[in-house]
Order: sequence, then C-alpha cells, then structure tokens
Amino acid sequence: MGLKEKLIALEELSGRKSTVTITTDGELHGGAEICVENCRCIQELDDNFIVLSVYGMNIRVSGTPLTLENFGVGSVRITGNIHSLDFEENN
Amino acid sequence: MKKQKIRGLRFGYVKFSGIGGYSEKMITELLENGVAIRGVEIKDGKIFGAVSPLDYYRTAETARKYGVRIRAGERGGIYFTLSRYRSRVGLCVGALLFVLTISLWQTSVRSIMIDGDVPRSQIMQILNECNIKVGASVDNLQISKAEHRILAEVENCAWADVSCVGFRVDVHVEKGAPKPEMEDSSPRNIVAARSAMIVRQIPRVGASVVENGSGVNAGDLLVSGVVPDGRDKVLYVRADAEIIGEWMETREFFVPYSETVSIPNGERHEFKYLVFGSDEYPLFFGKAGADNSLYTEQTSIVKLFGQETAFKLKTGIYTEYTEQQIMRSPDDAISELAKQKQRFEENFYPTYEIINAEEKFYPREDGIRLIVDYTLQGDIAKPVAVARE
Repeated sequence: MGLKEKLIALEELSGRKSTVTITTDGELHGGAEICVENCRCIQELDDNFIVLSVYGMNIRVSGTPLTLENFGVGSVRITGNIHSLDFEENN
Repeated sequence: MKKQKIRGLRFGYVKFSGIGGYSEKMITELLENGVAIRGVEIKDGKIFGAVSPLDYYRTAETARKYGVRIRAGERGGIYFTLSRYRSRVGLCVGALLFVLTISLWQTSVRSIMIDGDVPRSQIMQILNECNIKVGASVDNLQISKAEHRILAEVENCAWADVSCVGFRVDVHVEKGAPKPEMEDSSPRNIVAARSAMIVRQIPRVGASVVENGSGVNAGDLLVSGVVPDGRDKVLYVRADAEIIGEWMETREFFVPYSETVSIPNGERHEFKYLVFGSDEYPLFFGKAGADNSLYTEQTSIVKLFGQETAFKLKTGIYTEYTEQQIMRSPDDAISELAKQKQRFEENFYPTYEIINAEEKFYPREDGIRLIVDYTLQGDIAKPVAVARE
C-alpha cells in the first residue's frame, strides 16, 4: 500500500463525519458552491444532477450546468445554477 | 466544454472528453486515488473535465477500466511550455548549469553579515576559529560553538545568534545593559599633582594639612585620609577636596618666514558605491584609494521618479596633497603666532584658568620666536590610596 493509499485509509478511519458547506449569494439558483468533505463516492453523474454518497446519506444536487471538481482527499466542490438539494438516507 | 480557467493544476492541464461507460465510477476512483480533477461536467451524455498532465495516463487507464472512451483535448501550462524546448540542448544545458551553480554556491559560505554594536574584528576572529569564513563548506560550520564563544568572550554580551541561510552567514549580537559605576569606598589621601602655591581649598572629606598661601611640591600631602576620631583612635576615610593652586609655566612658539606645507588641493579621485542596508556594492573596477591624499565621503539617497528608494549612493573622494611654499611677512608671522598660541591654550589649558600671560617676541633671521610666561590656576588635587599597615 503506497503512502497516498495509506493516507486515504487513515482519512476514512478518522473521519466518518461528512461536512457539507453551501456558499451562495442569497439563492441557490443564482449560482452557488457546495463543498462536501469526506465524500465516499459519486453515485450518479448526469447532465442535470449529481448524486454524492457520504456516510449514511446520499446528497442529490440538481441544476444546470453543474461542474464538479475535487480538493484535498475525498472532498468535492460542485458549482453552478443549483435548482435543488436533497438529502436521502442510505444504508 | 466551455472556456474556463483551470485552477490548482500547477504543472499544466489536459482537458478531456469521454463518452459511454460508467463515468461516475471513473470519477469516484480518480477521487479516491487523489487525482486532481477540475471542471467535470456532463453534457449530452458526454463527460468533460481537466486533469494534470502527470495524471492523464492514470485517468485514461481508469476510463478504459470503466468503459469510458476518453479523448484528450486542449492542453496548456508550464509542462507543455517546457516540453516545447526539450530538444533545445543548449537551453537544457544552460538551465542545468544555472541550477548547478546555484547549488554549488549554497554549499559554501559567500558572505558574512554582522549585526550589533560589537567589535567586528573580534567576532570575525571567533568565526574564523570556528571554521566560519568565506569559502568554508556549509556542512562544516561550527555554529553552536561560535555562539557559545561569542557569548563567553564578547564583553557584556547578552545574546548571540549565528545562522546560515543559503550561502550567507548572519551574526546577530545583542549587548546587555552596562553595569552602573560603583564608587570606590577604599580610603585615600589627596596629594599635590604638581608644585604650586595654594590659593584656596575646599576640603569635603578628610583633614587638610596645608594653608592658603603656602607652597607645595608635587606629591606633598594636602588632605589626609587618616583622621582622629577624638577617642585616641584614627579613622580611615576617603579624602575628597578641591585644592586650587597657582603656578607659572613658560611656553615657546616659532613661525618661520618661509615654509613648505602640504595642502589637499591636488587631483581628485572619486569612487562610487551603491549602498543597500549594510551592504556596499562598488560601482568601479579595481581598488579604491590614492597615495598621500585626504579622504572624504558624501552619501545621497537614490531617487526613482522623484520617490526615495532604499538605496544610497556613497562617493568616496581622495584629494591628493600638494606641497606649496608659503612666504610670510613679519605681520603675518605674528598673526600666525597668535593662532598657534590660541590653539595651544585651547588644547592644553582647557581646565586651567590663565591668570596672566606675558608675551615676549624675539625676531630672528628666519622667523619670529614668541615666549609666553603663563601664570595659571587649577585644581592640583590628586587622590592616592592610603597604605594601611
């Protein structure tokens, strides 16, 4: 296991909590930025929505156009005109 | 994919587009592997994004793994800029030599800066003995030893720091507050510093043994530090007094009618330096200096577009002496004698009061001689420690 993989494993062990930060000028539709830390995986990726899986929950971001990028290990940032943001429990 | 700025990819970027397969799994795996991805968008079933050129191979492999047919698009950044010059051997060798030169410079000391109100020669000697000198290898510098020695050997040194940054050694020394002067309390006598007649006296501590109007020789006791206590015993005290004596001195001055003098009005040699902080950079080749000359310097602040900069321009001026023959008339000689006498009094009698100065002029063939009989008054008290048996 390389150093990067070890760091990732350590991150997963230490941080079971995910943080979602929303930065907006007043309304999501006008252009917002959603940062999700400790994201487990991307479940779905489509023209108008992105579904992220975090520990115990799925985050469904819909909007157009949506742009995704990562920062750090396991952290993603979604920007664009966001129409809705749903949180669904998963098992 | 629309034109947008790619942030955070220091070495450059490769934009890609992919179609088909499981793009979300591909992105997830790339995220898990720590690949920096920017601007991921899905449009009409196609995925767009950008990765670092160093990560593109892994991205392509991951895409293949999940059935995404990927295609590289626009690319840019320092990685591709430098790639253009990889066949330019001269540039590569030049860059390599540049890095090599900088690296070699970093392996030995090139300059030593000393900061603080301390004797520079002493610090340099200590540094030299600790192998800290220009040209010495950075690995062999005995920095801790130098700091300890500076602390131990520099007088009243409170703090010393020696550090090597790159090829420069910085020495910072702070001195402590000076010790207050403690007055000595050991017993002492006051004796005459010279032969004189006592004019007046102000004994503060001790017993005076001379009277006004009496004559004393050099070394005679004036105020005793051994005084009776009134019970058949003596006390040793620290005698203190102001004893004003009067005495005569004769001085002789001579000014010739003809004289050869050296005057600094010859050729001027100017040497300019650019000064930044405590560093000086000579703006000339060779060595500054001129034989038999007077050195003066001027410093001015360098201005750029009317604004003062941190740089200063120092001009060192060496003016050569030239020998000139001076002829004086008797009046000029007398005037020069008066100046000589005045300079002598200012230099040698600043603490004495001149009661009388009787002048006698003796003209000679080659000049005029002046003999002055001074009558002077001054403090002749000289403290001497009491020898206790």
